[in-house]
This record gives sequence, C-alpha cells and structure tokens, in this order.
Amino acid sequence: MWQWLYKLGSPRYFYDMTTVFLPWLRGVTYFLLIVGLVWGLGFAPPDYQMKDNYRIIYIHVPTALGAMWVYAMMAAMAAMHMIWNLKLADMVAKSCAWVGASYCAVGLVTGSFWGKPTWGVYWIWDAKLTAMLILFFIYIGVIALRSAFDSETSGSKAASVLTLVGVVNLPIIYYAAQWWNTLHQPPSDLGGSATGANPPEIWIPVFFTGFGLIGLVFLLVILRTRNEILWRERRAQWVQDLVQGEPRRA
Amino acid sequence: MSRYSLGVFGSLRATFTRELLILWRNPGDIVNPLMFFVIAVSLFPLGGDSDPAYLSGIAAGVVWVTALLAVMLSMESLFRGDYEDGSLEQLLLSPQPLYFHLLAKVAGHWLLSGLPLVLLSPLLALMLALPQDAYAPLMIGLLLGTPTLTLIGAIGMALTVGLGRGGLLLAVLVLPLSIPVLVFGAGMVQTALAGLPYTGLVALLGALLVLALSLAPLAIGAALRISIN
Amino acid sequence: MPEFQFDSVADFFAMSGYAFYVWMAYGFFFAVMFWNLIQPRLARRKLMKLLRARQVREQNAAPPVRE
Repeated sequence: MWQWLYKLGSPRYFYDMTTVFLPWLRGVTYFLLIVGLVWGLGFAPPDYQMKDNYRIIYIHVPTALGAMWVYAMMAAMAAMHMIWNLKLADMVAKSCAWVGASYCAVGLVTGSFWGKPTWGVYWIWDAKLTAMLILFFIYIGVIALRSAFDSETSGSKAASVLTLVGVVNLPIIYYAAQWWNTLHQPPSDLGGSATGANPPEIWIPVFFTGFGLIGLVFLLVILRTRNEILWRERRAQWVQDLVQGEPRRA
Repeated sequence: MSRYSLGVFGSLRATFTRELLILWRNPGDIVNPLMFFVIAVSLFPLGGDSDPAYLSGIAAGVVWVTALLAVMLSMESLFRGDYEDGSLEQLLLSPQPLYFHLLAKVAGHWLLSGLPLVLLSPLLALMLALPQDAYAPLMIGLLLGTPTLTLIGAIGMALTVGLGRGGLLLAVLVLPLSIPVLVFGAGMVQTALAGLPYTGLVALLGALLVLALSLAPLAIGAALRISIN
Repeated sequence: MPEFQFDSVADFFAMSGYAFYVWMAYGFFFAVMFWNLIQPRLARRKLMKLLRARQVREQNAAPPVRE
C-alpha cells in the first residue's frame, strides 16, 4: 500500500501510467460528452415552462459543480504538498487551478445566459452566484500568486498556503452570502426551475454531460500535469530519452 | 546576560512595543491610510448624489468598504520594513513561538492602524447622514471586524512581501477572503436600521475574529517562511 | 429511443426563440473547452522544441557541461 503510494508520487511513474491510461480516458470522455450534448440539445423533450432555454442546464450544472470539486481536489493536493513536500501533488494543484478557473467561468457565463430569459436579468446577487463569483476570484488569486514568484518552489508553497486559506474561507463565504441574501430581497422571483412537471427523460442527458465533464476534468488536469512533469524533470535521463524519441514536427 | 533572559512574555512585549515604536516614528504610515479613509468616503457624495436619503442608504457599505481598503493599504508597513532590514528573519529564527510573536506584531499594528479607523468612523457616518441609531452597530462592527481584516491582510502581505511589486496582487488575494467580514459588518448596520436585533451578528463577527486569531498566525508564519528564502 | 424534437434544422437553430441565449452559452462553453484541450497540446509542442534545442546545444558543447 505505502509502496504503491510512494510509486504514485513519482512523476515518472505518473507519466508512464497516464501514457497507457490516456487514450481510454479520452475515448470515454468524448463518448459521454458527445452523446450527452447531442441528446441534450436535440432529443430531450422541451421543458413545459422554459421551452428550449433550459438546454443550457446540461452544461451549466456540471461545470458549476465541477468548479467546486476541482477546488476541493486542489486543496487536497496543496495539503499533500505542504505536509509531505510531494512535488507531484503540487504539479496537479497547478493544473487544477487553471481547469477549475475555466469551469468556474463557464458555469458563471452559462448561468447568466440561462438567467436572462428565466429571471429577466443576467445577474442577481443570489448566494450561489455570489459564492461562485468569489470562487472564481480565488482561483485567479492562486494563479496570479504562483506566477508572481520567480522561484518555482516559493511560488508552489505560496500557492498552496493561499489554497488552504481559501478552503477555510469558502464555506464561510457561502454562508455569509446566503445570510446576506435573506436580508436583501432578490430582485426577481427565483422560480422557473420546477422539475416536478417534467418527464424524467429530460434529466438523462445530465448524467452523460455530468460524467463527461468530470472525465474532462481529469483529462485536462492530466494533460497539463504531464507537461509540467516534463518541464520540471527536464534534466532527468528519461525525459532526455523521451525528447529524442519524439517525432519531429515542422 | 540579562538580554537573554527576557522570557516568553518579555519578548512578546518587546515585539509589541517595537511595532508601536516603528509606526509611531513613521507617522505617515499611520496617517496616510486614515487620510485615504476620509477622502475616499467623501468622494461618494461628490460622485453620486448628496441627497441625505440616498447617502444614508449606502453609508454602511461605503464606510465598510473604504475601511477594508484602508486596512489593506496599511499592510505595507507591517512586514515591508522588517523584510528589507532583515529583522523579519531574526523574528523567524527567534526561539520563542512564532505564533505569539506574530499575534503581538499584528496586535501592535492594529492598535495604530485599525483602531483609529474605528474611532474616526462616527465622523464619516455623520458626513454620510447615517441615522444615530446606527452609530453603535457601526463602531462595534468595525471594532470586531478590523482586527480580522488586519489578520487576513497580514496573510496576503506575508505571501507577497518578497515580491517587491506586491501591491495590486495583495488586493487580488485579500479582497475575496475578507468578504464575510464585510457582509456581516455592513449587514449589522442595515439590520439595526431596519429596527431588528443585531446581537447575533456581533456574535458572528466575534466568531470570525476568534477563528482568524487562532488560524491566521499559522498561515502568516508559513507564508513568511516561504517569502524569506 | 428518444426522438428528434425539432421539425427542421432551422427550427433547431431557433431553439423556440431562445437561440441567442442557448447558442451564446454553448458557444462560450465550446470556446473555453476547445482552448482547454488545445493549450496542453501547444504547450507540449513548444516544450519539446525547447528541450530538443537544449539537447543539441549540450551535445555540441565540448567538453559536456553538467547543469
């Protein structure tokens, strides 16, 4: 068990393992996403109230939830990096920040395009939206802090500390936003997402896009991490051999 | 050998008084954030509307947001000088627990940067036509909130002190993290204005302060160790 | 098996009047995910070029210097 963990922490082992694993992950992810999106856009029955606008939900819900789970993953990696000084954990955390920020942005933008016809406005200061926006700011902060350091190790450590500070803060922020929302009446009524009147078929594509987008998280994180491994291990013999074996491109 | 027998409390008091002395001898570091506080608040009636009804509606938010920004601007003097003359390194090397040293340092800093903001806030509330009932919740809120903001700001400052050009980055890091304090603090004034009891929010702000007091020095310490090497 | 819900392709693009919102949301989604997928590929190509240049430089240097 410990040996396995130790091996998994080695960048080279991670690289070799993902080389085998990647085509499968890529295939499954693309399959789920294509089925889910085609089904969701064309074949799922329209919502009785929102007509075809609700089709945004198929990408909105998974990306918004994904953005939060990626932060949890990034925080776990940051903790592993701080406690055991595991370099690979930090490389994964660095990849997570970019993927999470992009999911967060997609969640916010698709949410506001869904909100305009549903609520009449692009943006309301609802607890979920506010917390999501702040999550996006924190992602940006982590990325900015890491890139501000010239030294790789200092930047990594600083980003880890900030990530962990953020993880303590996020539940408080969500709670604060929720409390604040009860003080100020939201500008429009939040109804419209009633699901009871809809047939279950409407929700089937969510499972496809949901698992597809989770697969995409892992795919994107792994792809970014592999590049990071090659860069940080550039002096190792195995990377040198790999560079030599790589086919040349114009 | 009397200098080596200060003991934990003696050395904490030394850190505390040193912080006060340094700020006292650089009055600009105390006065400038305060001046920013006053000037920024007085821009709102000029940029918006000087109608008292409008002003009293936004007063709580304006005072709180500018107080938050003023605290952040005052952070520069917390670690910058010590970083440049090497005394920060001495602090990290000292045999006494770093946690308490950092608490003493932040406490000293707050006493000359946060507390004046609290004391000045009624004047600004007056300029923004805030009703009299709301003065007490505003001041109590700031009294409990500014130490928390100082502690959060100190984390950001500790992370960026080694960068030299940290000013804007500090804002990007710290502002999202200080939102809960802002929400509860400004919300407390609004609650009082609505005639509702606000003691629950006092407790919440107190809880945030206790949380920050217990966890922030750990993060500040870790961040300083990163910035030093 | 679910059926295609729209009468024509034009109908599909019209999204019962919500075309702007639906296609803007999906457009942004595809743009971001496309960038997400293409970025590692471009980065890898650039990295390989750089590492290969380093190798060539080190081979040509005599005597070989360890970094």
